[in-house]
Amino acid sequence: MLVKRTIPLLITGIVGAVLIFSKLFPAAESLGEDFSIYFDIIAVFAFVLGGGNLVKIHADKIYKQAKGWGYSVVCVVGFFATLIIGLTKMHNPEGIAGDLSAQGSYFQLIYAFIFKPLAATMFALLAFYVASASYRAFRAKNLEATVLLVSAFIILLGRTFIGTWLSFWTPHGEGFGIPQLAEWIMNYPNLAGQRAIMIGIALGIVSTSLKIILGVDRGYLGTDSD
Amino acid sequence: MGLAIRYLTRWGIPLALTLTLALATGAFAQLGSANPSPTMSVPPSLAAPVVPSAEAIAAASAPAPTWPEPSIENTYNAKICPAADAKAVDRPEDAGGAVRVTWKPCPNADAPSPKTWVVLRAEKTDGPLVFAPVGQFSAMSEHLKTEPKRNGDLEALTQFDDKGLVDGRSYVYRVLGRDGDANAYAFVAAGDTPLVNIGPVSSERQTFVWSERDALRGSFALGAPDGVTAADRPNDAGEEIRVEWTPPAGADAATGLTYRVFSATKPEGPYTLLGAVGGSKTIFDYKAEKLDEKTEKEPLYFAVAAVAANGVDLAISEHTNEPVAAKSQWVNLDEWNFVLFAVVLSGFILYFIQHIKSGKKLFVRKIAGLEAVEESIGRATEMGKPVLYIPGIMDMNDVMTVAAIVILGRIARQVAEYDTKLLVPTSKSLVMTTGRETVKEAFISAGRPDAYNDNIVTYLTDEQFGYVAGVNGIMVREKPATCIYFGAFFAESLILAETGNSIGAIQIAGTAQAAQLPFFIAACDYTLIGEELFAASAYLSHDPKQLGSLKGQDIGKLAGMVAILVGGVFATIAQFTGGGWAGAVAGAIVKLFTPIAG
Repeated sequence: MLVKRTIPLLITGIVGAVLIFSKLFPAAESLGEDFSIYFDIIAVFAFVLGGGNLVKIHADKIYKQAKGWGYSVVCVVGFFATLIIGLTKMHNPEGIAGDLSAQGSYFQLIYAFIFKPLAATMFALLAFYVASASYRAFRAKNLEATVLLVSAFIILLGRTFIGTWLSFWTPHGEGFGIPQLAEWIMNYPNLAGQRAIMIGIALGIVSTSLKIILGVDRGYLGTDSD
Repeated sequence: MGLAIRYLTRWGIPLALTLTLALATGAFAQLGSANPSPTMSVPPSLAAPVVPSAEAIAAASAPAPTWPEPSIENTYNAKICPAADAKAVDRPEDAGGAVRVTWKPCPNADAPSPKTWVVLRAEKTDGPLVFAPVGQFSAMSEHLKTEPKRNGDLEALTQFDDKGLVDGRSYVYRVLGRDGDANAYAFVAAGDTPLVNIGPVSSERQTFVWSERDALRGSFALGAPDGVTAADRPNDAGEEIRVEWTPPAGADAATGLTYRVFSATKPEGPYTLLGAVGGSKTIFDYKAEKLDEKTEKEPLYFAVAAVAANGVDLAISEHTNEPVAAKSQWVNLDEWNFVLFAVVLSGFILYFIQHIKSGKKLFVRKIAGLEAVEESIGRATEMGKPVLYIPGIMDMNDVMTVAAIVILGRIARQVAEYDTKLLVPTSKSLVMTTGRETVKEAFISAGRPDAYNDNIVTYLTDEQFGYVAGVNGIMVREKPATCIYFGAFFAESLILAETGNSIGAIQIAGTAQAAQLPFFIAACDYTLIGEELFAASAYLSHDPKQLGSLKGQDIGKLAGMVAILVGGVFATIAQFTGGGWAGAVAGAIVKLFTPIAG
């Protein structure tokens, strides 16, 4: 109980309180930076656990020939290849003492010609998903969805030449065109809504932090029992 | 044999790896940042250019640069794109002796960009300019920077710092682009002018002694700055001294003045440059680490120089009469409004927690997304499919991840009670270890320790889109009946939610990333908006103490709404009455909500 409950609660409470008070007492300002460094040190050790866990799980899947074990082979081979090439600085023009990212090194080539294109491919999927999600969101199935559809339509028109073209008959010099209407939607209803959400988030963060510092919410320890 | 292979595969390889992995974990991070910025949806790893070291480029580049004397012909006949908008300025915030040359690599796509840049320098004298190379480097080297434009886009900019110069002398620069072919050159060109020299430019004067004061004046036409004062900046940790002055008579925007602030430990000097500000400013904050300790032994005298547009002639003010030292204060009174809010809000939260503990009833608005959590776990149980829980992609130092882990504890308990399969792939090792402890404790408290195993919470990768690929793979293979996304999400939010939608899962999301909320709302069945994510833990726990904190939070919102309403009314009245008492009230409300120190 002492190790699993009391000590973690004490550490959380003390660190949280010190960070709050460091805002008020200038002499304690540097403590915030110190705690960030402690976090980085702990995270470095967790890296080892994470990598070990990754290999253990995929090695297990390969051994059991579980569903999709072929992907696990790719993962483990890629992991080991990158690890060995990175550690030995293979084909690094500056040698073993050189910069890991030196141009021409195999590690840099893996990053530039395998890792980056793969990451960019995943990111590019977003373009298609935006279209499919928009299609569902913009179906005018109720009042809210209709308001959303109309607002989005005005903003889409207002941000293209078509908005200006369609507004030829309006006195848009006085702010009556579709582009001006699109700007108004962005600057007033949209911004007001966003700020309301931000205020709520700020208060939620304060409340959550306070509950954790005071030990009222112990959900991160698994249970609420003392 | 089979047993040996089993043990080797299961434990041998991972154990061997743990010894070497720590050395390589930061590898990709050196090439591109793994953590997405809280204000960006696009991962920095995609935006960051690959920058080989200067030494590598110098070694790879051919030595002994040769080039023809610049002329109209070889500029206009250049096969490659010339540099544009080249500028040379004194390098800011240095100890002197350096000039910074910048240019845009290729403003148009009509010609290929140079592969190599050569910077040439000549000292400006009365005679002809004699240029000599002072730098040669690859166009894709660390000299290639990006800087934000006014519209927020990033613009490529090449930057070269020429060091080892003599302060006060004038220099002229040229930039030569090469594509590796000895016959192709491009010199700096702008508009219709075929060849433009950059400069002349001088390195700023960094030091002087008081006896030089009049000699440095040169052709400076105005008087020196007047009324120079220096004082410790209050409410800080003794790291700042504020210097203020009055501009010389006749100084205006057209005179192109700048001010340089110098300090010395003795009135007679030597005075050292601390920094410079534009001609419209008359305040300079000298900030340095542990300035109080340094100035306690040797307090400083300050003097301010008004510098002419040519950057050489300057008129120096009288130095301050008394030496000044920085002092550390115990309490930062600038933060009084922060303390006030913290105390009031905390007071309300604690009051309502006590109020509920005494047995009083409290109305809590139903949150549809949280009501659906139990229902969705039940659906997964009935279908015999797993529940997928994604705790965001940030680490444990993000409050959203903390909230997500707290909620995971509640959900894991329900999952254990229903005897359903739970999958929690994480993108940070620390989140994995914390998540494991949380889930394990939840299973124990549900009376199902036997149902727990470490494979419930797993680590995939720190890389944003590698993680997305991994999670999408799990979704497609395992076909979970319920996908729950609680925590900090960036560009991956829609990719995850759309994949979950494509497999027909019930999806519940919650984040405080305002930019990602529309994606979740469009693609998920239920979405917790902003603060609801932080309320979720209390809501799911049904714990009276925690429900009390929700009431305190609501009081904070009420105070905010009243302040906005009252401030808006008084600001509107002030517009019609020209200020007066209404303006004063509106100003006081703004002050109450504005961080002073910021």
